[in-house]
Amino acid sequence: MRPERSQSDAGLSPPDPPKPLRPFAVSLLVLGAVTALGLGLARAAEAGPVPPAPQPRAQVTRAGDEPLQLAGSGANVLLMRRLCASMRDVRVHASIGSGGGLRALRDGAIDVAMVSRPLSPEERADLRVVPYARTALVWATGSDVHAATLGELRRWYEGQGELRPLLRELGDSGVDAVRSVAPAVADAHDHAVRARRSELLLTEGAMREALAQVPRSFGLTDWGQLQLAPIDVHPLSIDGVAPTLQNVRDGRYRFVRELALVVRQDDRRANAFADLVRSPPMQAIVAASGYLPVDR
Amino acid sequence: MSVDFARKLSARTAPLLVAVVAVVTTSAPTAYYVVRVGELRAQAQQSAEELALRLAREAARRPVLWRYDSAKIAAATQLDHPLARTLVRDADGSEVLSLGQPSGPLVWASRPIPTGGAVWVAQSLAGARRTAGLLLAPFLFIGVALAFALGWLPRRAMFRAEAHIDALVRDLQELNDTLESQVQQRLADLERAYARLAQSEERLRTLSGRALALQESERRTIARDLHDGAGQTLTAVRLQLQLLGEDPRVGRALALVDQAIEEVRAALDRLAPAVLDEVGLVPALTRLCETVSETSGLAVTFDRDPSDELPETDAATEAALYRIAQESLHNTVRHAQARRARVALEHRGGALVLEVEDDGRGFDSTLAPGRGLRGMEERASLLGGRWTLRSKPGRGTRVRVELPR
Repeated sequence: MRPERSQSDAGLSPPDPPKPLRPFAVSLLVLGAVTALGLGLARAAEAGPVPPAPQPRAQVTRAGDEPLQLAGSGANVLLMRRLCASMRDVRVHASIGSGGGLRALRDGAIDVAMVSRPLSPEERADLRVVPYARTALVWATGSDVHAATLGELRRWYEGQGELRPLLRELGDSGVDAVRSVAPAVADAHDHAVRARRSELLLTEGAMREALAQVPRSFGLTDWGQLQLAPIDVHPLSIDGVAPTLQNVRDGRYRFVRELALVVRQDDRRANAFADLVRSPPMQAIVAASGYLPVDR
Repeated sequence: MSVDFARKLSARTAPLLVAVVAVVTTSAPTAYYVVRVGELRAQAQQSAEELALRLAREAARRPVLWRYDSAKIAAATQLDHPLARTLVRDADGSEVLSLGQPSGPLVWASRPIPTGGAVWVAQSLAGARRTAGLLLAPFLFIGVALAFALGWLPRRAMFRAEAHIDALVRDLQELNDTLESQVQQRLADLERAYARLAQSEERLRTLSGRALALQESERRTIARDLHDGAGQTLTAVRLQLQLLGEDPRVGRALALVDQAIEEVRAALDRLAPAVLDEVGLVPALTRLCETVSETSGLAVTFDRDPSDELPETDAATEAALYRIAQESLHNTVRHAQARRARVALEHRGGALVLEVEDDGRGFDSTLAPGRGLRGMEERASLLGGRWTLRSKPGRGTRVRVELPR
């Protein structure tokens, strides 16, 4: 009978090593360990301080004999300072924007907010809005260019023209007013802002200074400011329409900025001031200052 | 048969290859992500510092109203490094500004405003995570390719080695099979040769037995002839001589005749113990023991179980047993200096077993046996039996013989 011989008997196979752990389980462990290490490193990199929860805001306390405080959109500042030039108990602050003025009014930091854009229903709640002047939004330049089309304005904002655009921040009330009439131009402005084609000008005063100083530039301001603070620039006719008050009044020039005061309804002193601004003498000063007075 | 080293190698290296895939896949995206988070944190820190500086300037100029202009300042600041969140906290911890929606992963940086309060800005990690996630795919591919190379190259070498080993195993198997068949053939040849040898031995044993039987028969015939012829003649001569009187020459002749008669008797006894024919094996052995005791002074006993019935035996077997017993006792008397001896006969396992032992001085049984011992062995062997001797100096001697029936 033929004998049975195993391979190990024949010396052809190595001795069986100790039985290892299941490769699949070990692989899973390795995979888990490496993944955990990677996630741990990522978490460690992300770890850092986070802002604490905000505390409730306390109402601003003010002295009773403090002057009437006015703040808000910079488009109002020049005209309001002209109107209040003879009032000792009124103080007109520099621009904090229409929205900032409204928040300051609600916090009690000021008495009268100056705005240059329409208010939303939420912003209007419990407040009294008193329009007091209108003026033309104009694209001004110190160059020899005197007229432009909306298409040219758009191209200039896109950096494809002979004039260099001067830019306001996103959400500026003047640009928003342009958007309601010529959205492509407003979008081109905002795109230029996002593309950082030039430094942002955060106030009306900064825009006027830049217009005066930057050669062959153009930027958005208004007719009234150019009258109250003349600089060596001129407004552009748009699509053949000059930005005159008459054209605004006639409706031919559609880029219009409306200035208004906002007061708390229960603030008699502020309401009295608003009524004063709407009074004929004051409206005469408005008209004399290069603005359109509001109809009573 | 394959040892399958490659499979075992795969089982051992699988965790290593998984580790390679995992490390290669995750290392670069993780490194990118960690570095990118650091960059975003630095950008956020830079933005926070810039914004805090601007706000501090505004706060110095407008101690109250700067808070309401912070959104515009923050918006301008964000243009340097677009931020996901911007928080400005007043000195009392109240919220001055909150820009952006609290969604997605963020990395925060803060900077106190010198005039009070703090700026917190956050960069979104979503882009870094997305890019790191996109990096996983190519590095997964690289990791898999690397692991494949690391796993496949040893496997290929192992495959080749295994194929070579398999070929060797097959060759050895074939060699083994050939060797096995040769061994089987040789074994069959040996078995046949052994059978023939056994047959020959059996035939030889039969022939030997017949030869011994014939020899024994011839001896007895010769002994009878010698007894009936020469023995009777010498007896008659002796009687005739006695009738001649008392002449001295007759006396000498009688002495010679007596000597001749004695020599004939001795020859007869050597040729064929007459006692076997006369009384049979057992009485003959009994008488042998008694005779040796009487003539030598050795105390000889004969053990025989009366219930043990002996089978029919031929003359050659009986003669062989008798002569072995006779020779053994003769050796004991002559060489052993023994005081007692024992003879036993029994029927065991189809064989007749005779044992003769003494308490004599014994001897080294490994030494070459003498002629008498060889004769006993040859006699037993010719009858197909087995003869053994056990003796040591000082331990007596035992002779044992088994003869088949």
